[in-house]
Amino acid sequence: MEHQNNIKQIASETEKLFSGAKIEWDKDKDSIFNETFATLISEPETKVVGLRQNMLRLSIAASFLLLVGIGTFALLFSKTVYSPVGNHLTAELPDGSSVEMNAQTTLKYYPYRWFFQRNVEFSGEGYFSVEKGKKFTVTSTQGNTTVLGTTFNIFARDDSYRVFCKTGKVKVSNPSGEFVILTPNQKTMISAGVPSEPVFVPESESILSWRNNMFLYNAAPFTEVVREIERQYGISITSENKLSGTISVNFQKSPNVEKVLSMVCKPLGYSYVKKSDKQYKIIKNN
Amino acid sequence: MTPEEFKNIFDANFDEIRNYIFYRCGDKELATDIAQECFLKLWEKRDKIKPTHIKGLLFKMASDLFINQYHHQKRTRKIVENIGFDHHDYSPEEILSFEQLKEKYEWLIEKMPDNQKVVFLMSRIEGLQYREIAERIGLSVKAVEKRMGNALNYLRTSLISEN
Repeated sequence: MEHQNNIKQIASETEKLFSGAKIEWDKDKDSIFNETFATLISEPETKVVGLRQNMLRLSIAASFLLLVGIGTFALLFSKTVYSPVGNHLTAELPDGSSVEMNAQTTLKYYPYRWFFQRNVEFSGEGYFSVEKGKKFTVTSTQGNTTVLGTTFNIFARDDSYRVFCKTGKVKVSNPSGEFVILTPNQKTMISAGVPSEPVFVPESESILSWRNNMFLYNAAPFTEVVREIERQYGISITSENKLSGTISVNFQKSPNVEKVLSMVCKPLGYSYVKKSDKQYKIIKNN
Repeated sequence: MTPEEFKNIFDANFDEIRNYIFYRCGDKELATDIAQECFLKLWEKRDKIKPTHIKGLLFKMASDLFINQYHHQKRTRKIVENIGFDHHDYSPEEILSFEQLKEKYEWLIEKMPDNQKVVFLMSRIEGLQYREIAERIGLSVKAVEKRMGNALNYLRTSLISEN
């Protein structure tokens, strides 16, 4: 009973206490609004917001441009390897494939595209050892060679394009898409713009001998041999008339260019004259 | 949100927000500061805020501001002391007993758990319905009822044990 009374008493006490209770604030809502917010919200809003939105837009645009820039750079960034006259050089490609480059040979590839596309632009002569993997394409003005993973030799100079396949399978095509497929020890050349039927080469060494500084020619045009000598020794050879004839010769790249010159000139009835340190002239004997 | 809309929202909610924070900290200045800051934030973000459920949002913002920025401060709990009670038509005896009662409550409410205190004071001082309290502090009506029940229980047991 007493308990019940107590509860009632408390309830009425609470009621009494809080009826008309109010928190006594120092400042009322209206004066706070007038002091703090009235000027704030009447400011022209476009100024602040516009600037912020512009900044946001600008920074989005800037980062987009930056990304595009980096992307473009990565796509267009290329590496060029050049083996000068009188020199041999081996180029390593990002996936471990390598190219032994003969004198006066240029190779260009895109390191940041390599993962998606194994593609090299090539002119000159080189022996390719391609790691197994995705399609590997060698592009030259005269033709293209496509492989998966093999070793092969390309000769792409002036109007000549010759490919020799050492191992694996090699597809050689001209710019308009006609192609032949080479199996080991076969060679082809693009003549008059069309890849020739593959020819079996019994002794592969004559094609790859340049790698050991041996030069073997079997009924080769004399001009081609002269060009090779120019490249290997870094000299310039001129002649009064157009050089003609074919030659079968083999020579080792020795320190003495004159020895080599006399070896190739004699059988065809030519002789040479030294004009200066790096200049020779070939004359037809009468 | 136009300035007029903002003004309407301010008028409808400022006192309630300020009271709410006051119930939680018992500091009039702090409560005023936080309520003000809460509306400054609302104005800054006026473009992103949808006008629906704005009351609940404001209470949440105020609560977060209170917790994040001021929770660590030493609180001066003078809730009842800061409440003005209307007793001008009381007799001198009545005033005396009233003062005693007030003193008792002062202490009890300081000691009341925070979540019960907010619900209790919202109900008693602002005369809010449970539904309205629930909407403001983001609880279910059932939970508000429960807290109110707990608060009353707490007061009863404390007062009885004292008597």
